[in-house]
Amino acid sequence: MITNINYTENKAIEAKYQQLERLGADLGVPVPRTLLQLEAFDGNGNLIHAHRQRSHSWNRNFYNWMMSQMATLNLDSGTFGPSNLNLKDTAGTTQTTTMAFVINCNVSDATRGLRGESGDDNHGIIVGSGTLAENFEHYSLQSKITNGTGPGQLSYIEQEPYARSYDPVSKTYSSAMARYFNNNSGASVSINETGLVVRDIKVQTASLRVMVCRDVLVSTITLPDTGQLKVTYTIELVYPD
Amino acid sequence: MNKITYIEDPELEAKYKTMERLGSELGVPVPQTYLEVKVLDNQGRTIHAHRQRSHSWNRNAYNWFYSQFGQLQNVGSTFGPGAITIKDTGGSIRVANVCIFINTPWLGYKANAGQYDRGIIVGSGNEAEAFDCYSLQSVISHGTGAGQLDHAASDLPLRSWNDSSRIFSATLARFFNNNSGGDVDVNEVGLVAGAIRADSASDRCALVSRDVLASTVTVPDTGQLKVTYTIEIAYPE
Repeated sequence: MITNINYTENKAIEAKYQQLERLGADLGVPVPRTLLQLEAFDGNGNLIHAHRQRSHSWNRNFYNWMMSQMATLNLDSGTFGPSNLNLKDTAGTTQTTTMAFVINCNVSDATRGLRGESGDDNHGIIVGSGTLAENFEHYSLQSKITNGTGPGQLSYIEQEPYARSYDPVSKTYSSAMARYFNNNSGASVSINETGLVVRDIKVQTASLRVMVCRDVLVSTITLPDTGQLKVTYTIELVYPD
Repeated sequence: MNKITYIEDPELEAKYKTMERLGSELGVPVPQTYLEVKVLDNQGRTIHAHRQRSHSWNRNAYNWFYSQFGQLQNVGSTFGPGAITIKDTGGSIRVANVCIFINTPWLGYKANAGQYDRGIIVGSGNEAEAFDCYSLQSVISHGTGAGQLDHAASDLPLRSWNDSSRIFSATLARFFNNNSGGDVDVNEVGLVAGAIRADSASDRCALVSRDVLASTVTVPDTGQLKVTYTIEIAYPE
């Protein structure tokens, strides 16, 4: 049985993240910090896997979303790629309207933002079995594991309410998002990728589902039948002195 | 004078560069913000021109950005450490409902002619920059009276993409004309977002950055001031 959560981030990369965050705090530039944690339990509640790492994979959707906010720019037309500011939803449709880019995604109920509803595998934290390398242009998981109790499926539990905290010493705000997935499929299910899908990014008047990051795990996590997976994304921001 | 002097402290500039390089390498979006101030005399000659980093995203900006990517709202009822709220330019703390920005074609950092409560605004105050500031110290109002400037409408934002640096850039500019009959001194520059949505109202004005200039910029009578903010993000490869 495992009792510790291993931090698996490469030390050289971790040092770079820390340097980046120090500089951000020093210079008064907001630099988001994102951590990903996975825990797997067997049918008896024993912890059989636990690790924590950096989430490395903000994608083009996320960058465009941030750019549109910070610079207050509307979306533009064109393809989804370099030089254009638009979004590609999880269905693969590029949103290029020139109308208002309205984002309304930080509502705390389970129907919006990054908080998925019970049984909803279309937004919030989602998981998949694909192993394709992470790519900045990705807009969906490679092979999403769908909600259900059939072979290869997992039961998506309603995402936990955000756990928020502020550390006055480090001046760090933290928002943790966790979701449980139960395996009632009758067999093991392999997990290789995780993603964050925002619901209610609004372009014009449409409510969209847009994936903003996809993390491919270093190694497969095998969830046994009747086991439970917990995935936690923690997004932090260090405020300046 | 045709040259725009870049006045950023070399040591700080090196830190900015390192931060931006790391952000790009690690795939973390890091906003880069520049401020350019240019003054023309009544003959159209440039009598002052400098460019610098804008150093002063304030608590409003941090809370706004974090409310987006950190999915936070309704945290606290004060304006300060531990709360995610917005203090508008009137000094009211907006605490309820969402705390986000709404961008429409006529809002954002744009201002109509004569508006000095939003967009790029200027002031005469020289109080040191503070993270908790929510208004300019002494905003210069619109008009032709003593100490006033004529506020032109904001230019449409210019957007550009640089393939080699992979930088997406937005340039926001505004002109101010001095028809006051005397010199007008400018010491501070601010960026006010119209339509920060908080408290269920959709049109709150919130100052998101305030830069105090290294030295006073004097706009002579019948002269013109141009202030430009450039906001950039370097995209990863």
